[in-house]
Amino acid sequence: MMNNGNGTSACNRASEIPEYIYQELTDRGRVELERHFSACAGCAAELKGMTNAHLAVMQWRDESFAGLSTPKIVIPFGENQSDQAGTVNSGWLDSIHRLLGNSTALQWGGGLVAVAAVALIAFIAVNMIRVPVQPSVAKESSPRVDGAVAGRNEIPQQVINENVARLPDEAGVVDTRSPTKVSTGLRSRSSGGSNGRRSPRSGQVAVDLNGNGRAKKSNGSARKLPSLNDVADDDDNSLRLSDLFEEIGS
Amino acid sequence: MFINLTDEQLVELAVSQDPDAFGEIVRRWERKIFALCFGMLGREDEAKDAAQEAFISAYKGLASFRGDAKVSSWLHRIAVNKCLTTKRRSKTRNEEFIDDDEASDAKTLVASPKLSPLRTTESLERMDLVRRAVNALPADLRQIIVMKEFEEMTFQEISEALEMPLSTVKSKLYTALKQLRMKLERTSVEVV
Repeated sequence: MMNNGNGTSACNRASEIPEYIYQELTDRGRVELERHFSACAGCAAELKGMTNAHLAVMQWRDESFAGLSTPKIVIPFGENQSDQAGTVNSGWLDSIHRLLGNSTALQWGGGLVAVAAVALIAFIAVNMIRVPVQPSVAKESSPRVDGAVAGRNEIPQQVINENVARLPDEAGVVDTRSPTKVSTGLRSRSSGGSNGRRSPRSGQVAVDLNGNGRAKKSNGSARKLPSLNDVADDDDNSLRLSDLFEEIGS
Repeated sequence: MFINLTDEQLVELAVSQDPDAFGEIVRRWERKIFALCFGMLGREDEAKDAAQEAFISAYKGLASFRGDAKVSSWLHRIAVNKCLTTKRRSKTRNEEFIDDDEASDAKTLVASPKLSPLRTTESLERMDLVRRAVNALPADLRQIIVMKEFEEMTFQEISEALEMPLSTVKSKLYTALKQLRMKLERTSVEVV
């Protein structure tokens, strides 16, 4: 009665056909549906086609699968149960989950405690740590030195000449040939490849980096020079530089 | 020893103290899971591997089993995932499942010894067409028709195993049979 032309039924009762085929209808339902098939050509055609498909699959099963023996399943009982299928987490997190069970309240409570603990640790850490104040080279401490130039450890040549002339016996290495560079003892410590030694050149006084009191003299008379060992190792560069600036400024 | 226990009790036992209880689960389900894998994959060798891997995965994931779910549902889900992974892997290797023929025919189709050589050949061809038609179904429809035909589960059992409403199972089976029917009619497969 309700056939849409390609052998499939538009009838509402067509959806019951699988139950009829697989014999899952009650006796009463089966009789009623059989009565309907005799009156509905669409459902009858659908029943025929679906039964044919069902029997074909059954035949495939019987001919290709039924004769096969069940494979021997080998389970590695000795091995630890772990995540192989990507569905299990069996690490420490899983242990915690098992410990907590499925209680959502417990899990939320645990989460809040963890957050509070992290916040407490952060608070303690902030209050305990003392950040050392780094003395910096301020413009005020050496008004004659341009800030930008000071930042690059450079001083105008004129200032150097004046101050060197005024401090003939001061410690430290002042390269009078170099127009703008001032070398401190610490600088040579950080310069790569020098290994703490510098070749003395004309007009330059070498500092005894070995601390044995002997200094090389390249030009001019020998002087008693301070050893770098006299300088505390924990002094930082900027502090030394500012001291130098103060001395120069004075 | 384990005969009177339900699947869920066996799993509980296997998780807590006795891994051998899982052996009973395997014995109860190995044939059905193998059938499911065979129907899903259409090849004996791959079905065996998928079933083996499914049980190993289930064993290794025992701790993840939710007590409120059914063991059948859990095992089917793992097995179907294994089958889909196998199929994807095969596609990646450019081994066409639907269109491959020669190599797999001999392994997949076991002809009845009662048939004459001519009938045997016809039967093999017909069964191969059915296998291709089933394999051409969408995975969700294929799974349901395989569970129905190969595992011979009732609608209610399928519904519980897939955690799906009964009406949805019926509707999907109806669609699967309808699509299968059309595919088979296109290739003129008739049951003899």
